[in-house]
Amino acid sequence: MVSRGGASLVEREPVFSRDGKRLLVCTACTVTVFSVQTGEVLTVLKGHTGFVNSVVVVPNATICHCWTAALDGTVRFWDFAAGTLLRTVNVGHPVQSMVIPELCKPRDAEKGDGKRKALVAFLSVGWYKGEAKDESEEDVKGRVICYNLTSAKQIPGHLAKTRYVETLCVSPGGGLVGMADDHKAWIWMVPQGGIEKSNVIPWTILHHTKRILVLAFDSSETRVAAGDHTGRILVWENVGDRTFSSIDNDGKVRVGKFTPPPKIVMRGRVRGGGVRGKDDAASCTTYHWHAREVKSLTFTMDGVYLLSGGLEGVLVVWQMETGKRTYLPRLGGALFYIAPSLHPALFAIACMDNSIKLLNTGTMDVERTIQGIKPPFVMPKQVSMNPSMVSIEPSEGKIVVATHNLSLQFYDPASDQHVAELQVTPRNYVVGAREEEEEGLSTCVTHVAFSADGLCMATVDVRIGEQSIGGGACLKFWEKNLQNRKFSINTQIDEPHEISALSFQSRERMAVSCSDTEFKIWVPHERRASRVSWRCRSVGSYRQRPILAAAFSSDGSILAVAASEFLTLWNPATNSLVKVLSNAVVHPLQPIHHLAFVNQSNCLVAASSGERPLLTVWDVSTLSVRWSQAISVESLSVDPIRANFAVLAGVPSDTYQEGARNSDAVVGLFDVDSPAPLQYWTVRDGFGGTLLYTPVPQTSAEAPKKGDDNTMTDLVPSKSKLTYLTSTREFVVFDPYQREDEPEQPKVRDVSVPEEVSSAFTALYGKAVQPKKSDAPADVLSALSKAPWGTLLNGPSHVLPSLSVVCIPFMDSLLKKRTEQT
Amino acid sequence: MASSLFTAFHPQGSALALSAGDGRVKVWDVVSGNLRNEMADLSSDPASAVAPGHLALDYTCMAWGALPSNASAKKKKKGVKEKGGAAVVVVGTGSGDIIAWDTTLGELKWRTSDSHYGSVKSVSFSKSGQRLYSVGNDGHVCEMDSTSGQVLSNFRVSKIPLTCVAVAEDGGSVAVASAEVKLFDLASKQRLRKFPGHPAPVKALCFTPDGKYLLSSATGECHVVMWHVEGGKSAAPVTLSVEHPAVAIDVGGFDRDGEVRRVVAVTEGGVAYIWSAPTVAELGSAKPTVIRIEHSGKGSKPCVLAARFLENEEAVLVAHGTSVKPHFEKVSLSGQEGLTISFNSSAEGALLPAGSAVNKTGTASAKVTVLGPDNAGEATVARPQIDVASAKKKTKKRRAETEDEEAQPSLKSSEEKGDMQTDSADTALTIVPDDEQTLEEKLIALKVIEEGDAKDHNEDVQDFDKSVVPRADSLQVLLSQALKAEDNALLEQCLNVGDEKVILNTIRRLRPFEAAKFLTVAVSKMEGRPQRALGLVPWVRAVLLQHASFIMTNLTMQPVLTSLYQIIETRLSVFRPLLSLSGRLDLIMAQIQKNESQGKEDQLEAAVVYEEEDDEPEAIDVMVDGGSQYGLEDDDDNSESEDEDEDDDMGDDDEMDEDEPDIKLNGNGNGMSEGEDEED
Repeated sequence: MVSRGGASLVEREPVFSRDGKRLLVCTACTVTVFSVQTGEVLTVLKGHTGFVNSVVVVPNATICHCWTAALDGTVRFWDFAAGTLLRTVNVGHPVQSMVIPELCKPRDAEKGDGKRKALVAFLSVGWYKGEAKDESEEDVKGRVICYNLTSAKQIPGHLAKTRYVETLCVSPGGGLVGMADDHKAWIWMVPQGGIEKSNVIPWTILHHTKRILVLAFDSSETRVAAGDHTGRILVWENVGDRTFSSIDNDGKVRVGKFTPPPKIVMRGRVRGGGVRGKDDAASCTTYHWHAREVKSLTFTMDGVYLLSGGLEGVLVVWQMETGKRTYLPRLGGALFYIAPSLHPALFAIACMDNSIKLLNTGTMDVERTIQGIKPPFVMPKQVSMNPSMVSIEPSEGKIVVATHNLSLQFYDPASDQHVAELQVTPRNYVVGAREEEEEGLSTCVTHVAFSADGLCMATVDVRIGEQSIGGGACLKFWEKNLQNRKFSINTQIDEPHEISALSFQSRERMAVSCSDTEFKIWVPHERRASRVSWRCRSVGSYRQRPILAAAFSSDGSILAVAASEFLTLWNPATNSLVKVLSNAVVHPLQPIHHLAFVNQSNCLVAASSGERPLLTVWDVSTLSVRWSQAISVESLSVDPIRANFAVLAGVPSDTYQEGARNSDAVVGLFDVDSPAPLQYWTVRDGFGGTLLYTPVPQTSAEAPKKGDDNTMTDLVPSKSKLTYLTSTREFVVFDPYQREDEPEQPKVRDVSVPEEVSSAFTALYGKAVQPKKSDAPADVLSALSKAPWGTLLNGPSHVLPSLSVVCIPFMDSLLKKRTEQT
Repeated sequence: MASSLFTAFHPQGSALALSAGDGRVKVWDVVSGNLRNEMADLSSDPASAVAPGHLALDYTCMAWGALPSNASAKKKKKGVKEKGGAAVVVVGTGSGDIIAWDTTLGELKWRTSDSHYGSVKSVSFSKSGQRLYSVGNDGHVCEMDSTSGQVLSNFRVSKIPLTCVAVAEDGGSVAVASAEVKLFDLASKQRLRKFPGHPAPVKALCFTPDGKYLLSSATGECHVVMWHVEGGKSAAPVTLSVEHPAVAIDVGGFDRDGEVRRVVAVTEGGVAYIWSAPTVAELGSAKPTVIRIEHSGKGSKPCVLAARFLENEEAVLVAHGTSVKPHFEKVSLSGQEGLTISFNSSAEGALLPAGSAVNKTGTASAKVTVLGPDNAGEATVARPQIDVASAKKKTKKRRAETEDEEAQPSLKSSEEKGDMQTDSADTALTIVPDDEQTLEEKLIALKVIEEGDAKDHNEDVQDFDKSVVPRADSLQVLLSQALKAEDNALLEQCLNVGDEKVILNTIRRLRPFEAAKFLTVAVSKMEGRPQRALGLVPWVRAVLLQHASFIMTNLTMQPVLTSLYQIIETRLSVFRPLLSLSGRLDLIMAQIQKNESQGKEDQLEAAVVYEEEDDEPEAIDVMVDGGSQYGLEDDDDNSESEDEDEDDDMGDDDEMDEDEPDIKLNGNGNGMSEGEDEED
């Protein structure tokens, strides 16, 4: 069973269904239908192979049909109540935006005439080189075209050429279609009759000195609002009076639709003069409150109010007549879209923190929040350490990610649902400060780690000082309150050292943190009676080398610390250095970034990165290398049950093949005994991804008390789940041992689909060996004893079993022969 | 558990519907524990608003079933588990209505008012979710289409009111119960079997997924009965006893053979019992796992509200707390057989808004321990370990060492330690305290002639030495400070340090002009008291090794070097006669040893003399050796060089061997200088 989730909900504008009970949200290659009432997922429309960009709902309260357009060049027609695809129209060009003015009008009026009009969609499509041969300018990428969806034919001609593929918007009544293109705003009037040729559609252009980002029409279709990147909102009155009334060659009589309304004298503001050049508008008024770019604009249904949102995360409600403002601050992030519903007061706001908030403008209250997994943030440049901002809570299997505002989000991958949020350090709510976008956040959580029982959590948060003053890190230990399952802070350590890695011991309460030159072991310590806090028990270093990774063995008796390129093994109980492992003879030294002990074996996996990356499996009992392989490891995770581990590795660049993209990566499942992967999957978007095994939940303290061995074997569940989380926080949870299921899985989201594909990896390492090759050495030996001895030495030396292992069966075989002879 | 509280889990176990029978149904999210939505019949249709307490609001039973998704959709996406899917909560009312809510959309899906005369008593979904069955006071069974609420059939099975209904997994038969449980075939509407035995109306009824067993429990009866559905009369029912009458039953592990069969029952008392056994027969004798809620304080008593087995997991999902704010807990079952698990109830959270987002923390909270960077000072410095061969004796030492360090980590304290010892001897011009000790010890050794003892003692001394060895960096600071301030006492403190590595590192860190000054001071000291030569020689040597170039080029240093040269010359001139003396004494010693009858007086004399002669050349020898050894190292600091020491154990042992005579020489050195004094 593969479960996916974590897509961004706020890439595109959410759309309400006509009955106002459902909300259609574009989530990567799918459209997810949420219930407005409960925020639950109702259906997922799967079928598109590219990013879905537009959703248009058929205006009929009884049937739930919608059109979607995607970058795969298709427009599809769905029944979103049942989740079925009804029709596919192939446009042939990647569709960036689609509006269907016809569907904005209430359908009831048309019921009378039996013949259905052709459904014409306005599409903003990408028009790339090769297709546009006549095009002299290469940089013109976008076209706006009309498309007859009923006959699946493009209406000849195009409406506009744009440098970039822009987004279209349509007026509430479907009379006007607009597009913001750089410093211009295009306005087209939709003819009442059918559209035969697109170049006869009347149009006008409004100009502005700044880059226009967003357009909005009011319901009377005479007013156009535009938001620019400096935070100004321009509102033009009586747009297109002259143009649209003069060009009227389609024969239809329009009844006073564009007769100029009586002039409204605006009080206290400059007006009329704002119209530039020959723009067809009566007046232009500027509203300015936003300090930064305006991201979203919507008129209320009656056209009295204008809602605007920007990077500040504040919703501003403008009363158009007076220019009075009402604010709703602290919405959690930049407001990307404000979608109106049929209910006059209900709006859906898409926020930068991957949440859709259902806002009632009557009460100015957020009624419900649909929260997705929070997006990653820009790390401060100063933090050069490898952060581990993602972890899995062992007891409940929740993904824990560090987010904006010094918070940790607990996310349930099984139900694809936000569970809780925990702010690591109290901090005032700051959203979208200019500096943060340029230089990354000034404060962030860089590490989070859990103890094996999930009762203890450690976090590191870093703040970057201004001009290196006031910066620093803070290590915090949290204890889980068993009653309400919330973490509460136990110990806070200011300035522990610059932490590059954080790891817990599995058995006892012990943690290790690593920094540039040293590592510190933290243990709980009873200060006063009944007050247990953590303290630093010991400090160690090895040759002043930077320490980038540390790991405890599963029984907790060995602490492995990677001091740059050396692997040092310490006894955590006595703080003594036991051994130093170095692979220097075989390979040039590279600093080790990932380190883990493999369960059920004596092996230690170390992955170094750099010029010549290397994945090495050490046998700790013999202090020798079992095998090593030149793989650039992005992430490493150890199976909690078996002697296996999984790595996320970039495809080696020298085997770069056609079809394989640069960011492609391979998730490989390895056995400690062989360098050939048991299983592998190619994934996309591999850079910055994380691989996590969902830890096996340990039974609570009662289980060991019983102490009989049978229960121990019972404890091992049949399945362990592997979670792959991309840098954009989309995730896939799958069972790495389940093979037959894989091909049947449909592509849900184009990004990060693990497929069993043989590509460069096969070319490199050959076919994956069957996982049945068990790790029990006894089997290997028996196989050896049967095999002719001559072929034993035909492999590379590091694959061979050690001499001591081979010796006895060899002797046995000799002896047997002797007895047979005698 | 209140009798009028109804619970129903979502078919996938993601939510729990709770109703106190007052016309409201609350849906709680299992994962986050928040209220998902609340469905009330009251406000939805103001025209049909009825007074509270009306029968139409008197809910009598509740069930939650997943609706079958569209057939065409199913074909296309076969095998894909839909995440959401429509699901309806169905409640039966006291007026005979059946109401279905779409929980995801939060709206009333349908309402059937003509299913029963009198109260509806129980509703149950078929496995596929397509059909809904209800029983009521009129003794009828009503079959409905769960998507539309249309009544498909309504047939009478009993003359007395029915209390419970359950549908078999295959959907072919239905079990109804009043006091007696009866099994009906749905196609023919004929009674298949009856299971008599319950004295009171049945409260809970449940089929196992394999269809072989039927579980029931009746009002006021303290056990759950497992009936064999097809077993005939011979198969006796299995009874599972509980403390209070069970109100809800769920089964798990009956899907496949070989799985552990599990049964969970929630009782009126708010306690959940879980039985697990490989076979049904053993279930009866299995000791149940009991889940209780510990309660302290006032208010309504929290209890287990509902329990349900999770698919594909050996765990049971338990909803506990109060109906105002339930809590959810996943309890793993493996290894818990026969135990009692108790949860603590927490009173908080009832009034929190749904999805109350961020759990903020205050730093000012008294519960938090705040540590600063200085905390690391308490920490032990992790050390390289010596190989196992020599570990035995050394671990002890090391522990002592680390304890020592932990106790007094700073240099100063260790210096003070040294001071205290020097105080006893001489304060002004210090005699190296070691000397006396070694001499004493030597004498003891000679007297007692027990080499083992002497060695032990030596080691102890050595231990002591090591434990107070200050680090080079701190010593360098002290030394340069002493030189700058011309603080004789401080300088003497520094000079007390005898560890060659430390000396070498210290000198290396000195700036050249400081080193030159130091050399001047050291040479003048050596001139002033020749007996101090031995302590000073390592320092002087280190200076010459490290800063030779600067000193040689510096003209002002010439007189110092000359006098140093002279000192060495004079010493060496004595060396030859002493050597010859030593030879003779050797001879004498040999004779003495041969002639054992001789008195101790001779021995004593001989010993003293002998050592004097022996010392100087050897001392130099050793130092040169040591120098070459350490000179090769890229000694960054203590820990590192120590690492290397320990890595090659052999070298370490050698050192140890060398060290012993070295210490002896210290003693001898004193003796020798005394001898020199005598000669002078």
